[in-house]
Amino acid sequence: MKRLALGLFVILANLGVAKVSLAQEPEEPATDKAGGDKTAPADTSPSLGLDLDLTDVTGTETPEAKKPAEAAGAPRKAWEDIVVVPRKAFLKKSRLELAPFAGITLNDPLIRHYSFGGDLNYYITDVLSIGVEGQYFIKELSERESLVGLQYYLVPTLNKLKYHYALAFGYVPGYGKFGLFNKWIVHWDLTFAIGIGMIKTEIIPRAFGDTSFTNNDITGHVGVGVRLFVLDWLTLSVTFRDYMYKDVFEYKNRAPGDDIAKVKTDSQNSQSQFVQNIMMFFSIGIYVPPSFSYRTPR
Amino acid sequence: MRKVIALLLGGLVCLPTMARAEKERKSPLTDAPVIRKRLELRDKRFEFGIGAGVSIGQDFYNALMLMPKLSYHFTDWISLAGVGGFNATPKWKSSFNNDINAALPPPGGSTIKSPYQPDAQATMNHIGYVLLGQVEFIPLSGKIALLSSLFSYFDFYVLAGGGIVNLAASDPTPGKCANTSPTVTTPLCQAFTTTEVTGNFGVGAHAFIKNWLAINLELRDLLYKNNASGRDVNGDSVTDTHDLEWTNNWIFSLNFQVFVPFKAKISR
Repeated sequence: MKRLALGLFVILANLGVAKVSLAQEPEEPATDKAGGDKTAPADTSPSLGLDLDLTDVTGTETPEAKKPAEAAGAPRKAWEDIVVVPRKAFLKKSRLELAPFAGITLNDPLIRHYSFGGDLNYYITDVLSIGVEGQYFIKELSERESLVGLQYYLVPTLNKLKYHYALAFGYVPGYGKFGLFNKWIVHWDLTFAIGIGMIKTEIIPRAFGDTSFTNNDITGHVGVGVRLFVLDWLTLSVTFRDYMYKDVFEYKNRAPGDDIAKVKTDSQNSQSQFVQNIMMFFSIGIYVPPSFSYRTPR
Repeated sequence: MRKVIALLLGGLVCLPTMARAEKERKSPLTDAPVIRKRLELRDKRFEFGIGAGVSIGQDFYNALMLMPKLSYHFTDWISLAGVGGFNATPKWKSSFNNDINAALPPPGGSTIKSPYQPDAQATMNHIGYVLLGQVEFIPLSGKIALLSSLFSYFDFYVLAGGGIVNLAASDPTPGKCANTSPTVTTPLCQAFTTTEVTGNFGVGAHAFIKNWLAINLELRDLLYKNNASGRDVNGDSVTDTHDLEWTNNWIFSLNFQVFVPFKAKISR
């Protein structure tokens, strides 16, 4: 009997909890940790900061738009009385970014290189970073390269890329947010990069069976990219980089049986050329520590 | 044992009630759009303007084009556009073309099978003009702060459509390309010069300087069949339609676009 009474008490107690939960207002998230509130709040700010181009917005308002909706007979929505200004969704300061990437060369019609590597960046501030990058290349000769022989009876002089590493500095000049179908807000930023490093290249001998030599070229690069913030610790990026260096190609008058050291010296003297390699990269950024705290009040 | 059964029973009875309570607990922001008081910069507006486009990765001739564009935005996220592109630099050689030219013998020079420089140049084609139609789908629109002091409204879109591309060459059928075989009349080489149907796929963005003026960037791929060199591709020693191949032809353009009516609506 006592146990039955206990059972009934549990049922009644649970019903009571359910009713209380029905009556409660939604609570503010207690913590200020990033990712605490995952509901997408409405962005009512007319621009990125509250003090920005308000006059511009009001200046563009049509007479129809100025009239409140209820004047036209439409009922006023509950959310129209709530003003929400979301904070910057992602903070990078004092965080480490590990970004594996895959890339492809864009501007050589004869030889294409696929690249696999990674960036390791440390953010000194939210907009400035310093880091290293490394990549390994896989070559692919294009169809145009094979047609040069058939159509012009020529053999192209080409170098393949082997690997590259660099010290890089990053800057974030722009930060923005988009409404995706006006249902979700996507935060993104614009990134610039500049760096200096070394690239290893190797000649592809024109004559089958000839030996090749390699070059270590000092390389400068500049880059521009777009980064989308997916989670507190995850980003997706598309980046374009232009690698600039002076490379040595196999010289024109190489004779069969020439010593490779002589070939290299003669090539350095006569077949040195400034090269621009424009590449596109897709990367996934993983941030450590995986979360961050806002320093300013909500 | 009874105690356990009673507890389980209690829990089971309460489950539907609690689930209903959770369902009825609704945030006041549930139905709200994520961005309110949003400038609807495209909705029911015409967009027209002019700019320049440049080809990327063409084999033999780059093209710098004059590119007018006219669009109508049915809603804030979908529009129909017509784009033209007229090549202003038909003689702008690519670096690959220069390399080929430098390696080929001049007229009268010694050669075994390589064509002379002018003969090779004659059959290389270039873009004359393009006329394109496209549907633009604009899922992303927002704003960006540059250097924390310049602010701009932005949108990104994907575009798809079709059109025609005119291909031209300096001398499509040079005498050196004539086939000397008594049985075969198909020339050894001939430039592919025609006006051809092309697919048109790409991405674009507007950066609004004013609510009625925007910079419009587009990167598009024109997908059509071509034989840019005008020479044998499939190894049958003659040049005909069997040597045509699908080619990707990338064009990057930058336009200044004016929006009418000049005033944009603001959402609730």
